[in-house]
Amino acid sequence: MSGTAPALTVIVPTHDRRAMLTRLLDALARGGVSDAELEVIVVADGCTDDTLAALAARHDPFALRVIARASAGGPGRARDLGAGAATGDTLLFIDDDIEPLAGALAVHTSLHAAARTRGEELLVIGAPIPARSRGHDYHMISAWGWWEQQFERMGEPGHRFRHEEIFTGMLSISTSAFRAVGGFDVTFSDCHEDWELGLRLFRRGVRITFARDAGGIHHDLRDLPRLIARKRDEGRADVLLAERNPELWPALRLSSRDARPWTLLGALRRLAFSAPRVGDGLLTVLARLLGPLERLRLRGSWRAVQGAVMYFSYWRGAASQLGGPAQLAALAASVAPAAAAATARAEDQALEIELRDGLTAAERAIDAVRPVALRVRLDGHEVGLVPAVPGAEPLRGEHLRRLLALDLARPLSIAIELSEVSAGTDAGVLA
Amino acid sequence: MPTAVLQVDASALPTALQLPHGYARAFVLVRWRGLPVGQFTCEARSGVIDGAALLDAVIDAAGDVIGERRVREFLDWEELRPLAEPATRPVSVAVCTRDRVDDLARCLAALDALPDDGQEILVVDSASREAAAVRAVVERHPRARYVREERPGLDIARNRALREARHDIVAFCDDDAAVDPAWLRAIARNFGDARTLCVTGLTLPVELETPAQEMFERTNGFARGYRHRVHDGVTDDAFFVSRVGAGANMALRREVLDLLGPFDEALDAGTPTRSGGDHDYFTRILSAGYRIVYDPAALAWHRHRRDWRQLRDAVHGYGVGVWAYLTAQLLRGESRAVLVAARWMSWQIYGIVAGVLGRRSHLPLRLAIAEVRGCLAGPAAYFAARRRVTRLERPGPGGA
Repeated sequence: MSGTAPALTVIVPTHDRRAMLTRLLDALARGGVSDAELEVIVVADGCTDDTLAALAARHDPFALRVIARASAGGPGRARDLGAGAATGDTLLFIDDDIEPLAGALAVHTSLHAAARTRGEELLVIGAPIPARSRGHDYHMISAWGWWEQQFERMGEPGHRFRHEEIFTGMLSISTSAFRAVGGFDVTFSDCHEDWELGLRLFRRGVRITFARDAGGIHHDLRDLPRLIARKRDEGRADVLLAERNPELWPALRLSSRDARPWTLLGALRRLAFSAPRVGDGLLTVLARLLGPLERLRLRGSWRAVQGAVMYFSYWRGAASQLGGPAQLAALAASVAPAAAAATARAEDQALEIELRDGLTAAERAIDAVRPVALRVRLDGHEVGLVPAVPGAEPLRGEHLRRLLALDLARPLSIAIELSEVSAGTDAGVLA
Repeated sequence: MPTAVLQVDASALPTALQLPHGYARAFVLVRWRGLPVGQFTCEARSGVIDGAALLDAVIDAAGDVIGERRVREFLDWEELRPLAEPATRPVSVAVCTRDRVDDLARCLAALDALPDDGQEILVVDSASREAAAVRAVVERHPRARYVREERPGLDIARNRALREARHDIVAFCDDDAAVDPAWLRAIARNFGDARTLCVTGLTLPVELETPAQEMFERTNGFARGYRHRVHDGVTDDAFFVSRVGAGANMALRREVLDLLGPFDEALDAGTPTRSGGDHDYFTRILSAGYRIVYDPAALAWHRHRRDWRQLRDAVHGYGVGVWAYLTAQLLRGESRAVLVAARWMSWQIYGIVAGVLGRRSHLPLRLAIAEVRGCLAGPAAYFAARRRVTRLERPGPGGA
């Protein structure tokens, strides 16, 4: 490697998945970015298979560095370790079960280069596109559809990102921004550390971009046992998130009253706290129902049962972190007022926007302030409030038209009519 | 008294709407700067709908959608590609036809009026007895390509069209329909997302000259509203496909052949099952987790059946097709097809009872009975159609 810093450091945390890692490195070796611009750091996280031997035997065109941890500490810690050793201007985290699309690395580098020329710090989320099989397996359809719905929403022009849309599967960030916010919070281990990082990057004003072609094929869709384990991790991680970010409380499932006590979900939620072992038994029964329901192609029932399994697993994880319902109530009592106060404060300080002066001027005003809430008027007629959304990035000018078109269309339509009537341009007909 | 089929553009509303001579009622499509935004039916006084009545009717029928359009214009913001811009991908247009030479001529004339975005036009002649006449009509349209399919059946013709098409998207138009000039661009602009395998459009009556046509439009019309909708197989009921659209106006990605397999050749017109091929395919698309988009800007005008006998026959055929399609789904392992069939039947029986008791129902009594009789014949028709498909596939003595 030359003496100058590479443009891009790819960081891959891995644990005993030699074949997947090899596929990923082979994809990187097929190019897209010149070798001098690329540095790859593999953090072998307590690997006990032949990963290290396979890495030692590789001859890649790029600089490959291996950091071996004697015992597994989770991908969050591994990513942080890799980031600490990186020398590139941009960090690109890639999970070891992703095979980058051809040209994906070049998309990351060019987006960051363009942002640098604008004087912006950037976070690029590449799409981890699930490998879709030709079969009609319900788990696969459900996971694949969920991801594709996410990607579609995130790729829409003017999309306002929320914390839960920051995922590390194939994520790049300018090194300076990553280090300035202190990197990952490793106490989150392997769940929602990306969400938590996203919140701190939002506060710093980092621009968020989603690019499907900056992603890769995600080869490892979770099966049911791993989905259950993941949901438990999410329950635990949400408790941590609430404790550290009280303003996020309304956006977390922990705060929701989405199940009435006498329903199956309500019962599952109670069991997660009061009789987790009984709940585990019920979970096993419900999970066993999924196979027969799928064989009968009863999709709606399958979805309901699968939802119940995931719901219980989430609350089981939250309960294990909290201890009991009293602790949940205590957590709510400690963070909910702060969250409500933060929202009220943000909406009190909402930026006043008058559309009479033109949308471009309004967009510039928003970009200058980056508010979290807006109060919109047209010719003095109230259009409405773009509310503060817990866990969402501060507003940019580019969000404005989408928000008005989708969330405030009806009052804006009325305001346009009123404005035309006051201006005498409306002759009582439609145009 | 027949109903005149008219159009107005609400962005330049006339001071009054004059009906053609001999009409006292109008079915009016409301547009906004060319886009379909609503419809209404209105009685005319002395052959005229005056300005106030017209404005009221337009606001009732399309006020909300026009309001949304005006907001988007004010914001200069659109989610979809404007129809004034050429399509970014070429499309194969397929017309499956059988012995309807006059209809086909009108259909091809409308297709000729589409802006040239590199589309091809494919006419699949589904075993017409008057093949030479069909071919002659096609040859009058230089852009159209004639393909002869010897085995009769609409789904067989659809499969042939998917295999013959040169482009990745195949838009199907019935031979008794005439498309709007913006139809193809509206179809093409909705295929941006890889999960969208199918796009359907708005289908309206080209004429309402007879009571049978008015009844068909009221009870079995193809219009599915004036808002763009996405039906997503991950979250939506795969059997609730009547709201999705109709095969008279639909487009598919050609890769459906690989992803889902061909249309079920035992279903739809030209077979004992009479209909159901489109709904069966919509259900298969949604069951596999893909999406169907309905875009009302993809407008086609359809000529409904003109007399009561044809109408009763068509409604009976829809009944046959519904249960035939549900039988096909059941045989593919979709056990819920039984529940859907039972729900459908209970709805029909309710209609018959309501009719007998003299109450309002969605269908007149004789049509409701025809539809139920069709339903009951559906499963047997499906098995008969399967045997027929097998026979057609098997080369006869001296065959290839």
